[in-house]
Amino acid sequence: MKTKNFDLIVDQYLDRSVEWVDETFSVHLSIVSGLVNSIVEALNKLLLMPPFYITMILFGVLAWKTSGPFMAFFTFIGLLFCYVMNLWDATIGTLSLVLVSTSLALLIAIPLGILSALVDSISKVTRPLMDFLQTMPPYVHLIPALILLGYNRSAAVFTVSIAAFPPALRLTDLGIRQVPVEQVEAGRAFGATPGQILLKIQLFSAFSTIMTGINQCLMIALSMSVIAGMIGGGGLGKEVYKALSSLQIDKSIDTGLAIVLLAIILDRISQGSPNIFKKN
Amino acid sequence: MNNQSDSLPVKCQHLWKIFGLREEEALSACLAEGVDKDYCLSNFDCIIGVRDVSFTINQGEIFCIMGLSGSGKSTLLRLINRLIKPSRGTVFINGEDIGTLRKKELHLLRNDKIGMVFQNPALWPHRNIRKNISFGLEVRKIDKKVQNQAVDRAIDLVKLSGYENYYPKQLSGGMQQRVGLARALASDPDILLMDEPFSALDPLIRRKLQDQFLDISSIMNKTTLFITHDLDEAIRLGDRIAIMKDGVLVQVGTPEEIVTNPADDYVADFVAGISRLHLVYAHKVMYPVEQYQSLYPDENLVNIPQVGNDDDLYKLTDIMVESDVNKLAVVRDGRTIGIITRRSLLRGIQGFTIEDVDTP
Repeated sequence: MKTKNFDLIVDQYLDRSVEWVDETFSVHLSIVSGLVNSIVEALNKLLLMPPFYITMILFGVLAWKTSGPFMAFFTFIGLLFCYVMNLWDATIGTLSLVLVSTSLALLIAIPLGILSALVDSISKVTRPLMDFLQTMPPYVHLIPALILLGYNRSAAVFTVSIAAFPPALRLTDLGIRQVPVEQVEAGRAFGATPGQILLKIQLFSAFSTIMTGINQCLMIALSMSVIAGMIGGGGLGKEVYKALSSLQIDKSIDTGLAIVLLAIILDRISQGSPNIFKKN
Repeated sequence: MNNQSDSLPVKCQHLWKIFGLREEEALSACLAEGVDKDYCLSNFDCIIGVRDVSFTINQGEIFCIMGLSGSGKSTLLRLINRLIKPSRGTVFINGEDIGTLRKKELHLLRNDKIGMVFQNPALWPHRNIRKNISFGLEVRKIDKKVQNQAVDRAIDLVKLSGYENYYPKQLSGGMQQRVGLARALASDPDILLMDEPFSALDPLIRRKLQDQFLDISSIMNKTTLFITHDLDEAIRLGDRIAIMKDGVLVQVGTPEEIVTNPADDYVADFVAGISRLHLVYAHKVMYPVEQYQSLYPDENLVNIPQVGNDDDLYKLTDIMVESDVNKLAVVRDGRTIGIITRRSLLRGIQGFTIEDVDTP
């Protein structure tokens, strides 16, 4: 008898908590919601402004500079496919969502990752928090996001950012921790302050690990963006959802293919981005 | 504090370093009851790194600290620039207690007054050679021109001119270590701390670098604290040697003193295999002339070859062989002060001093 009531009590408590947050912070929430939404929309408009072939060529150039001629060709063909299948707007929609969410996630994850590596008390908090966020199914925070932020891009950004930021934080933390001890000790021996050691030694040494974190963040953001299509994320996610709900197998395959192409393009470009700084 | 200690580059007083969570308890036990390291380990889970070490280093001296792994020598080195904080005791650099320095002052001390060379060169792989060497100056935001001059000077000293734009991974181990040395010398520090700098190199390169270091050292006259586990190296380089065991300073002295007068069996064992030829001098293998004459009053001592008080066994052997004689006269200020016989010379080469040789 008692256990039956207990779970009802907990559920009621959870409901009330979400409601309470919604009511207490309604003004803040709507400001944030509006702000994030407009950023995504603005980026979307920006990317849609030029004629499609210009955008394709620009991405092709970016791909060339980061990953070479073959990837440039692949990028161009891949984006051409999206256009030809009438998925251009949707692709750009997903792209803007991914870019805004990844930027937001990295803005928090990288500094927090650095702090977590250097300050023990912070890492004691972030470790279990990351475990929690990474194992919890993202659908779980979809609903509170909807309630609090509304059925628009901001809810999607919120959900995607939360899913994407743990790998970036973890890998930044790992990268900094894995800097060889001798290099840090040498820095100290020559009178560098902790800040100088961070900027002149640790970040350089941790660079490739942090880049991996950024890349992972991007990839997870992309896959979450598709799921977020269900809650107002728009883009290819919405198209997939539409196709699946109306049982259009052909359309769902097209959209799936577009998502994969976008993933490959973004992955290669982000992995190759250090190459922009290297002169041939 | 007397004036003399103010001018000493390095002075350590009763330094202790105990590693472990229960550091203070272990320290108290050691101070009150004089417990040993096994007791500390089993009762407090603590390791005694450095145990009541006191010594001084003179200006321009190369002071070698020698010991096996775990003797505490690397810990002691790091107490000097406070990379490790002592559990107890004081370190004076140029008369100043570095424990009282604020953070900024400590950074400045490490930057400006102390240069460090590591066993693994610990060069920063993302910086080229020039930027590795200039790191200390860069940290202090010194003017670029001045930086470049200092780098050029340092690179020239270690004979690596032309490699400024290379990266560490393009250089061999020996070259990397020379860069490490240049890096330590760039800011023209008063004191050099060297942690087994040549231990990771192969024997031929090691000898070359030792020679190069001796050259540089004589030019720059820097006070140096040099850690090594190689007794040959310590004897070659050191003006004075300190032998450490289990965190304790067992003996401090010149190479000759250590080799001829080991303080205990541990040191005696250590130095047993060392060649005495360049370490022991005439005065250690000679019979005082009065004693010799009283034993052999009839012998003619006028025409035997003369040698100096400070001639080493190698030279004495040379002279005795070339002159084809059995006796040498040790002369100081024009006066014969001692006689070296074939017996005492050969026993000296074996490692016995004159006191051990009964009859001439």
